[in-house]
Formats: sequence, C-alpha cells, structure tokens
Amino acid sequence: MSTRGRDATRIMVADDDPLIRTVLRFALEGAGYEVSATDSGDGVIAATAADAPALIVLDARMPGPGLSTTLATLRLSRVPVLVLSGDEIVAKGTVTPGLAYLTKPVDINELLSTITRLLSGATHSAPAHD
Amino acid sequence: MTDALTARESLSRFGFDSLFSGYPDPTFAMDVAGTIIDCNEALLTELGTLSGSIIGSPISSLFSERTAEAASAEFAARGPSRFAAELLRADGSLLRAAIVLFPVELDGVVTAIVGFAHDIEAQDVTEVIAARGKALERMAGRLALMGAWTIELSTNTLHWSDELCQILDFGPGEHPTLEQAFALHPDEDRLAFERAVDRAAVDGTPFDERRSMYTATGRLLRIRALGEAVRDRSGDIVRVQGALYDITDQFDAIAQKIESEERLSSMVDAITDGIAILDTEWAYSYVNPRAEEILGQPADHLLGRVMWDVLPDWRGTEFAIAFKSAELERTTITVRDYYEPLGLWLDVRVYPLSNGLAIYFRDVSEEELAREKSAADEKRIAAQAALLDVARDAIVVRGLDHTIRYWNRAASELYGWSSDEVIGSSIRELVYLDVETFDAATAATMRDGAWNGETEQITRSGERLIVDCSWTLVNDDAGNPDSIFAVNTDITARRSQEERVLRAQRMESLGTLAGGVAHDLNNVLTPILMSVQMLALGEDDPGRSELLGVMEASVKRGAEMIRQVLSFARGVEGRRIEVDLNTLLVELESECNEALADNVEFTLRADDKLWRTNGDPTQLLQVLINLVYNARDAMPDGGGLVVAARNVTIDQSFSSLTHLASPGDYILLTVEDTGSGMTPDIMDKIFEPFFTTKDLGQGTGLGLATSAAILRSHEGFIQVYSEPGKGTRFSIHLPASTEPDGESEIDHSADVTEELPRGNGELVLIVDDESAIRQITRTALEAFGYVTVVASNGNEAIEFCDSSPGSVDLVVTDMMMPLMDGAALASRLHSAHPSMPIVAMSGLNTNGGIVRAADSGVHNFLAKPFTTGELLRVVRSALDGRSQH
Repeated sequence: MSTRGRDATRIMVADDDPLIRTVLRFALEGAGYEVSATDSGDGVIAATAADAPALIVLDARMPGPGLSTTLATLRLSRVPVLVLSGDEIVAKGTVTPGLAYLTKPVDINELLSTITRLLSGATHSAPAHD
Repeated sequence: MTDALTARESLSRFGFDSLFSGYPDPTFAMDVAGTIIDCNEALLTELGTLSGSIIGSPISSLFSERTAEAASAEFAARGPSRFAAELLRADGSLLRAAIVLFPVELDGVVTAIVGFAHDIEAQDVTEVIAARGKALERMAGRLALMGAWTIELSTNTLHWSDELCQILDFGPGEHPTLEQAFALHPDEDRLAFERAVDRAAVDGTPFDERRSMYTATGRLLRIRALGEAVRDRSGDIVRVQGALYDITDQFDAIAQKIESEERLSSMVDAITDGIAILDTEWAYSYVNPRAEEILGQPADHLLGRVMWDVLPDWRGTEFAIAFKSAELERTTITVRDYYEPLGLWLDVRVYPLSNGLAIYFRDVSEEELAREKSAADEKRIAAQAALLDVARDAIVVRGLDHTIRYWNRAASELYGWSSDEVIGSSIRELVYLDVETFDAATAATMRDGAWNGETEQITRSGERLIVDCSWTLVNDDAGNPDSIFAVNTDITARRSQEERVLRAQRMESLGTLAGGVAHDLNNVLTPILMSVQMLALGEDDPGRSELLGVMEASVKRGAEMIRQVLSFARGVEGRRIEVDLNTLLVELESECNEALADNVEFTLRADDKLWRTNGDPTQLLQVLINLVYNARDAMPDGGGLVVAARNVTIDQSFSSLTHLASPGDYILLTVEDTGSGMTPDIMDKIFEPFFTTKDLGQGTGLGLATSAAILRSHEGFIQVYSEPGKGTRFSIHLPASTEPDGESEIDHSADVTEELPRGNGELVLIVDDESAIRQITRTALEAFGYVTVVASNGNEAIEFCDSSPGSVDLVVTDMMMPLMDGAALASRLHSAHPSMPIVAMSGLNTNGGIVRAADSGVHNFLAKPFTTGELLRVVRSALDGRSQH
C-alpha cells in the first residue's frame, strides 16, 4: 500500500461480499480512514503479516480458515479487530480484549463509534480512558 | 349230581342261559326242585335286589304271599305254562306280572325250568300273553331243535336221533353216512369238525364246536355240536357221541336284541355296527357282516375260533381289558379306543352273557377324528382367543352379512360395547359412519381376500376415531368365504401425534431454512442500511431526508425480523430457576397497563397458593406479554382481558386425552379475551412459524411459534380454544417444580402476607448480569418496603457505592458474573465499605462457593433458586446483623 498519508489511520476490511466491502470503504473513507480490503481469511492473515493495519473489520463468515483460527492468528499481531456478523451469538463468542463485534446490518454510527473506541483502547501510546 | 348242577349244565348246553341273560324282561331259571339257580339283570333291577338274595331261594320267594302258592303249583306241573302273579320287590311293593314258565329237557327229562316275567301293570294280561306267544313258540321250537348223534368207530357208522333228522330236514330214520354228514358242513367247518371228531376218537378229547351246516333242503344253520368219546370196559374208545342243536335263532335273537337296544338307547344307526358273540372260550360264535368288515376277517375265519388266535393284537388292549371285566363283573362295559392293527377308532360295548360275551362294535374313527379336530380347533381357538384378548388392537370377526361373531377385549375397550352386547348385530350399522367406504372395503376384501386402509368409526360414546383396518377374508373348510377377520387399530392419537411431529419437523426445517436465509439477508441489508445512512448524512433536502429515514427504518425492521427468525431457528435455551408466577403476573400487569388501551378491561386472577415452576422468568414473561398483545390486537374495539393462574393436577385420563402432558401437578395460566376469535383452520396453524393473521408488516408470525417452543422447553404446553366472534382463550400448563403439599402452601401464603420480615425504606443495591433476576429481586424487595438500585456488573456497583458513600444499606450480588465475579466485587466492596452487608446469590450451591464467598467478606448466602421469603429473611437478617454490630 503506497499512498498512505501520515495522518491517515489504515483500516483493513475483510469481507467476501463485494457490496459490503464497497459500502464499508465508503463509510470509512468518508470518516477519514484509509481503507484496504481483502475477501478471505487467508487474505487478511497474509495482508496483516505483510503490513499490519491499525484495525481490522472482519466478516465472521468467509471462505478460508474459520473465524476462531483467523482471530487466533490475528491476535499475535495485536491489531484490534471488529467482527461483523449476521448472527449475534456467533459474534458474541468472539469477545476478548481488543475485540468488539457488531451485528449486521451495521448502523454506520455504531460502526464508527466502535472503531473509535477500539482504536483508542488499542493504541498503547494514547492515554487510556478511565 | 345235584339238581342245581344238572339244571345249570342243561341250560348251558342248550345255550339257553345266554339267551335269557340278555333278555329284556325279567327272567329266571330253577332246578327241578324249584330252587332259583340263575336270573338276569332285568329281574334284579325290577325287584331292586341283588342276585345273592335270589339265587338259592325257592321260587315261591319271588312272589307275593297271595300268589306264591299258585306260582308254586304252576311250577310243579313242569310244563310250559303262563299265569299272572305278583312279584315281590325288595322294598315290599308288588309288581303285577305275566309269568311264563318253560321247562328245559335233556334227553327227555326235565332238568330245569326257565321263567319269564313281564310287567303288566299298564296292560291287560291276556294282551301281553298273546304278544309273548310268538316268542314262546319260538322257544318251544328251539327246544325241539336238538338232536343226538353217535358214531360207531368200529363200523364208522353214524346214527342220528329223530330230532336231529328233523333239525337237518331229513326224514325220520333217513340217516346220511358219516361222509355225507360231514359234507353238510361248508369246507372249512367240515375240516374243523372232522379234526374234532378224529381227536375225540383218537385220544378222547371232547369238543364243543360252533359251526355252520347245511340241511338236506339247503338251509344254512348255525349249529353247536358237542362231542365226547365213549370207552368200553377196557378203556378203548369205541364211539364218539354227542348232541347237535340249531343255534341260528339264538344268535339272531341276541343280535337283534342288541341291535334294537342300541338303536333305542343311542339313536345310532345300529345296522351299520358290528355285533359279535364270543362263547365262554372266547371263540367267535357269531359275527354280523359289519363286524366282519370291522374285524377285517370273513365270518368263516372267525366263527369257532378263539378271539386271541384270529386277532392276536387284541391282547393287551383296552378292549381286552373290557372283555375280561365284563365277564368277571357281569356288567356291560363300554370302551372307546384306537385299535392300531385296524387303524380304527372303535367304540366297543361288551355285554356279559352267561356263556360268553356279546360285543357291539362301532367304528367311530370319523367321529373321533372329527372330535380330535374339533378339540384341536377348540384348543387353537381358545389359544387364539386368549391371544386376541390380550391384543391391543380391536379384533372383530364378522360374517358376510356383517353380523359380529367375535369381539375381543380390546374391541370392547375401544368401542365401548361388551362382546355380549354386540355379538349378532351388524358392525356396519354399529361403528361405521361412512357406510359407503365400509361397503367398498368389504367388496375389496371379498374380491382380493384382504383389505388395508383407514376408516372413520364412532364409539358408543359418540367419539370419532380414525382406525387403521386390516381385514382378511376367512374361508371355511370347503373353501367358501365365511367371514371377515378384522384387526382395527385406533390411530386417532397416533395420527394427531404424527401431525404434531410433522408440524414440529416442518417448523424445524422452516427454522433452519429461515436461519440460513436470515444470515444472508443481513449481508443484503448491511449495504443498504449503511448507504442510506451515508446518503442521509450529506442530505440537506428535508423531503429526501425523510425518505431516507423511511428506508432506514424499514431496513432496521427487517433486521429485527431476521433476529427473531434466528432466535427461533436456534431454539430457545433459557435458565432454569424457581419461578413464582405471581411475581411474573405482577410484572405482566404493569406491562399491560402501559400497553392496553383504556377500552380494554384487564383482570388479573392470581392465586396466593400458586405452586412454582422451574423456568426462565424472562422467557415466560415474554410468552405472556406476547399473548396479551395478541389479545389486544384481537380487540381493536375494546373488550375484556382476563389473565388467571391456578394450580391443576393432570391425571392419566386428561393426559391421554391431550397427548401433550404427562400426568402431574401443573400451574395453569390462561389468557382470555373477548375479541374476534378464530376459525378452527386458523387455530390449527397459529403455532406454526410465519403464520400470522396480522397485516403484512405488523407481525412476524413467530410470536406464538416461539412461545410454544419456549413452553415445550419448559416441559409445559400451550393450548388454544376459540370461537369466532366470541373470543379466544390460551391455556398454558407449566409443570409444578416442587411437590405441592399443605405445608409449602401455608408457607407460601405466609410469604405473601404479613409474616415475612419487611424492610423500612432501606436502600438495597442489586447486582446481577441477568436482568430477569434483577427485576424479580427488585419486585420482591420493593413489595416489602425496600428501596432498590440495580447494577448489571461489578464496576457499575462499585461506581455507585463510591459515588454515594453510605447511601447503600445492603448489596445483593450474584456470584457468577463476567469480568468481575461476585467474590471479587464483594472483596472490593468489603474493603471500601466494611459495614455494608453483602448477600451473595449463587446457583452454585457447593461448599466451595460458600467458603469463597465467606472469604471475600460475604456472610449471607442465598442459594438460587430462592423464594421471596428466603430473600426477605436473608436480607432482613443481614441488615439486622449490621445494626447489631
């Protein structure tokens, strides 16, 4: 990824649904984030290993490795992950520190506020909220 | 030789004794001195006495005093005579009888007198005597039919007496030669006779042969020839002499007598039966054609030959025993047995004769086989009937005219009529509602031999049944259709069970399908929702903003429906704690007050002594609220809504009626409205997912389906009763969690009334991650005088306590919570607010849990599930403990 501005925080969107990738890209870029995208669990793992984003928005159900495998791998990178799932129960199961979930369909305001919270919590240099 | 012996010998030699022993009328014999030497059974029976008291007595003893003298006088005349006299019975009564006396002569000398008596009480004497005259004449003739013969061995010449000549149709003095005489016998008899004579001539062996013999005119006679050797002074045998008499009539008479007796006594066609007569040596002296047939030997082979020799297989049989017994005991013996050598079942009656036995044979093979078959049939039928009676299916055998022939116990139970009530009546009219189906099925059974199918039937009480029928055409032995054997299985319950299972399966697959679709639908909705929201952000035009708002709301409602579908598809898992439904009803009431319009009159009928159930209060409340909302929607113009709760015990009969519940104690909740009601076909479907009567977009069609699923998971069930235009009643049965007894009811009623410790405005902080627990605890505490605040986790609790120190009088906390558990919270609170009592609630009722709670400063423990009373007591005691400190 070449054209990352210094101030822009890069978020990786991992979803096998191109429409969702598109709409997320619109929403996040509209909020001032830089967005990269991938369509599989393998893709998000590989991309994170190569060049870790500040946050990953991860679809719970994608081709490739299962959600838990993907999450376990991503945990090593300490990148905060926001899981999106159509099924609340699946999403709930993923909750660990540094992780949040939202249920589809995602409300854009919730999306952005959750991302903000995750980024602030995960950014060790930033002062921790009480 | 005494008179008696002489008399006996002469009777025997004439074969006369055998005649009268089988004679139907009372008969007796006397020697020349007038002493009774023998009598027949008929006389003993008539006089009611035994032979021992008669034989040896003078003839006069037979008669009454009044007639004895006359009888003696008749006897003294020693000629044939007939007279009337009175026989004296043993009991002293008298029998008026016609008496016939008949002298028996031997060699011209009267040696015995035979007497016959005939009961004439009902008849005129002369009439009887006339009727008997013929018989007397025959006897007189017989007595004449005896002659003497002599063979001079030196000259080998034969001499016959005149009587013998007459018997054999020779003129007086017309003596045949010895060869000619022998030639009168049929071949076989001749040889036997020649041998007998030869033996007598050679070694003096006497003989008594019963043979056949032709007369000069060609008549075949049965004769009896007695012979003995006569020796000279030096002991040499010089001649063989003897007597010969015609016994043809004798055997005919006996045979006739037996035949007629059999005909009369047994009504059996005696003509087809065999009769044989054995002499004292048990040689055949007479066989009728049927006896020949049965014995498998021609008369020629049998006559004169000892039974054992002709048919040695008779030895050791039941028949042989009967013969011996009859002879020994002088009684008639009947035996029926299988005779192996002939392969026949024989019914044999043996009549003792004084000089042998009369045997009556009847081939009863067919009868026996039939009897065996029928016995086997009966046994089989009995066994089958026993089986049929234990069968759970109704088994009905009906004739081709539909009349019921057999009706087993299960049929009685199923249909309500006993076997006695229905045998003979028409099954068609009795239980079949749809006789056309019945007739068609019957026709199919007649055509194909069997039919299987379902019919609708009706019981005595009018209950309609769906019955699975298995009918089989039964043929009789001749192969003609005789009856229909029907096995009817009541599948009414099974059918509704099947329907329920099918419905459950349908719901399950619908749920699975819906779950899959819902998941993808969320992916569809996501871009729409986000796009709409992003568009709305930059939109200044109020009209366009409003439209985007409509789109957003619609997407969100769609998302909500998907959430419900998913939760339905996943099934309902909930907690199981003891639930006081009264508490739930209180919550429901507050919910209803907000939700119901003023024109709906809400009535709550709770029961103080209500049992408890184990369940998830949140889910149960959801079910009740759902029903209330449905009721509300059914009454757009207002009406009445009654929610009631009471205890019920479901017994076996109700249980089997509904097929939903196992017997036991239940809490029955009813939600009844006066709304629009439902038709039966709608009622059938309301528990199916996605079925709704509400307008598109107003209901998900999952409310009742989910409710039913929730109640099933509680081992309860929901039923509906509705009448269009009148209203609807939903009934919910929830199993009572504790065995209700008088004590618990009293305790419970005490809980609700003043006996429970009350609060006095103390502030209680309730900490639990489960909102339902918070709500229940809160409701209970507030109802008893406490003020409450709630927190859903440890951090919130600490924050509240720190923010307003000293305001919280007591904390009730759950021990099992995410992030910070109850022990950690208690520990933190205890260190910060040491005087504030903490009550720990936990479902983990183990010692470990309590110890750990104590370590963290908790001294009051409340085990879940707890009752309101327990809660209040523990809270009170914890507060009082603090005040005592």
